[in-house]
Amino acid sequence: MSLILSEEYLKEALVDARRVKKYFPIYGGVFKRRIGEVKAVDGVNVAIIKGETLAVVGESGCGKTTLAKTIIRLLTPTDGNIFFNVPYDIRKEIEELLSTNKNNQRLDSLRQEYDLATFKGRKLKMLRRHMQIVYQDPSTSLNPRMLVKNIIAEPMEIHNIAKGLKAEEKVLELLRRVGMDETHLYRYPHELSGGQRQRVAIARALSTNPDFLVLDEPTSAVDVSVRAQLLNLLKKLQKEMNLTYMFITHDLNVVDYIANRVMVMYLGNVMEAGNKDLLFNKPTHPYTEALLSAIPVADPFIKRKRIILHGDVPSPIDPPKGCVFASRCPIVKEKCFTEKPPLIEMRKGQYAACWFPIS
Amino acid sequence: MEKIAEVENLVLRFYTYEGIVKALEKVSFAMKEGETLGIVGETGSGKTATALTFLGIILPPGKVEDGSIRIKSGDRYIDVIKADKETLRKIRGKLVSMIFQEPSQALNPVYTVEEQVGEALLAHIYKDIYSNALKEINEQLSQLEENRNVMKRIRLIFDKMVYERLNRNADDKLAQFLSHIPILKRYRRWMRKVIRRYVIELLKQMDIPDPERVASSYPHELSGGMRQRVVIAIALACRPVLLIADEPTTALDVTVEAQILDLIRKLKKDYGTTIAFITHDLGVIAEMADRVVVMYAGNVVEIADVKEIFRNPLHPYTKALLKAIPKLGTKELYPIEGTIPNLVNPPNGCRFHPRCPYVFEKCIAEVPQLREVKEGHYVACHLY
Repeated sequence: MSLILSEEYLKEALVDARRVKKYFPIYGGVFKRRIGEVKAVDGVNVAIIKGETLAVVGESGCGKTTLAKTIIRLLTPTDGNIFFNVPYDIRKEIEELLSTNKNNQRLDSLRQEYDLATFKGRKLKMLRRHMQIVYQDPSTSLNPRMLVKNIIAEPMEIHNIAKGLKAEEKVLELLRRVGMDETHLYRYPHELSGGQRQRVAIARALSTNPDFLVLDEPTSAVDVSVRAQLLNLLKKLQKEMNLTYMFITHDLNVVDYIANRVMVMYLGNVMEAGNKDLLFNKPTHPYTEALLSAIPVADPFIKRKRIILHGDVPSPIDPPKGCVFASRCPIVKEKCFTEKPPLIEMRKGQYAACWFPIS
Repeated sequence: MEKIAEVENLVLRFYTYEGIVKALEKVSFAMKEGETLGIVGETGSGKTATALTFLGIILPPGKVEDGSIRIKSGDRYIDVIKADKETLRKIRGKLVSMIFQEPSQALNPVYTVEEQVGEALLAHIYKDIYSNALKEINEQLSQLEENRNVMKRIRLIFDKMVYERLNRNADDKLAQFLSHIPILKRYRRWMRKVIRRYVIELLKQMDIPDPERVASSYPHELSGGMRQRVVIAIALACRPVLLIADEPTTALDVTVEAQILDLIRKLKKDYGTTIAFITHDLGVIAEMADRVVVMYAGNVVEIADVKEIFRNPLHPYTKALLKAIPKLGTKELYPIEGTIPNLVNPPNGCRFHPRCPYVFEKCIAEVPQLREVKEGHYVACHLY
């Protein structure tokens, strides 16, 4: 499988995940044998440059969250290589070794050292400092029995960054950074509003000084007026702390506001990826086009032609043989049902997996 | 156009341990026949509370303290607030109907789709169902050959007797009694047969593929979009005059949302129903609504035509809201500072004043009244 993205781009990548697969087994029958698997993520390549925001969009169940969790190793990938802050030469060497010889001592030692997919125990813990995640619903991601102060200080204690008074100072600094103050230190999550809770979750994620932050629908559980506050906060933090974001969402309006690049997923596969402006203005994949036309526009004067996709997303247990989108595609042809389209460069900086792209 | 529903000075309180939540404060608006009225607001602004009062399903500790909701029924108006239980039962489903936000919670997991849709039908158009069942029995009887199938004939004659009684009086005591006795309660299968026909016809109108299969399946066997279609089918089963859609697409994906919105639009054209569309998504409002009611912290702050709201918003809250939503192509967002007030102790005067950029003394002292500033454009603000 050829790698997407140009070489100069990959050189600068902070996060570089290749051919990531995550299958969840299904057990059944009398002896609870393995009878199948859910192909949540099926061979996805992701690269994110330092300081940029990659938005991952798709409907629920398309594998966006699983992909993110696999990349930060909250889940163990079934297959694939994941690199975080690894020099390009080494990545290239591993890639070459992988393509030539599968059983190679050099390859094994390199993978042990650099490939996140093989990390375990202490090594993994060291890594966790540098990659953090903010979940969708802060009312379930914050411990209701802990004070805000302790919630934010906990990661620092675990990673031996600060303790006691020093930690308290840092907590206060973090709180101020996310637009709160010392009055919130001794509160429980239930005493805060939804927006404030999400701010606490962001502060907690930032407490270990990470480079890479996964934002898993951080704004979908809050109200419209608070959503704008959070988005602006995230943008500000990115600039101040030079953060790299992987922003998971299904709201394309938010994507347009916050992302540099976009990746559209469908049933565990990448449909289209590329520069945000290109992708939004000139989508080449029919799924992207349909998604874009489906967002309700907050302007009654704009009348657009909507493309309405019929039916539902097929089951990832038994995905279609050819193109996974074939069953709902408005311009489907025979070839789509038999052969899986590869992800190829349609324009400079825009990649799509489609046999009959929209030009 | 004629008014189909009129809400006047609605005051709703919730008596909780933390204090009295002033959920709705003098909410007034009217709905015209055949329009789609969009109701927008954030969480806790009172959108859903308003919707629930329409059906008279505010449960304790909630209590409607004052006001009226008058809904047109034929050529007179019925006040929902003052209506007794029996009237309410007749209103629900027939006059006013509701689509709830979460289809997986709105449906009962232990009944099939057919039974749930059928329940709505049986509650209101039982007369049609009974007479159709009788017709079916008569048909069967006439097909039977003379002097044969004696048992079957006896059964049919028995069923016929029950349905004749039901046709005369729907609350027939004997029929009710029989429906509890094994073997004899088999008279109900005729009814079920008729209902199934109605249900499948209804599901077909909801663009559900393979309605026969869907009718006999349980909610968990269906996808989110299909479930929402079933909920819509229940709501529209008796062709209500007024349909309240309470965030019908919030729990759905974008592509499915587009399908459902399209369906609602189509049904509105076919049925001519008046729709109250409750949502927090201004995009959905722009696509669906004819007129918009903007709510904030239990107050109606602005009412106007949808185009007027987006082109020429008057209330500072509406203005701020429009600037705070990300749209394709926006370069900068202007969030509304502060948070929604706690409705146990709402701010004095205008409830928006702590967050309002144009606040002055009068806003803190006096509650602004909803006034008509331009033709059809109402706003509750001291600036105008």
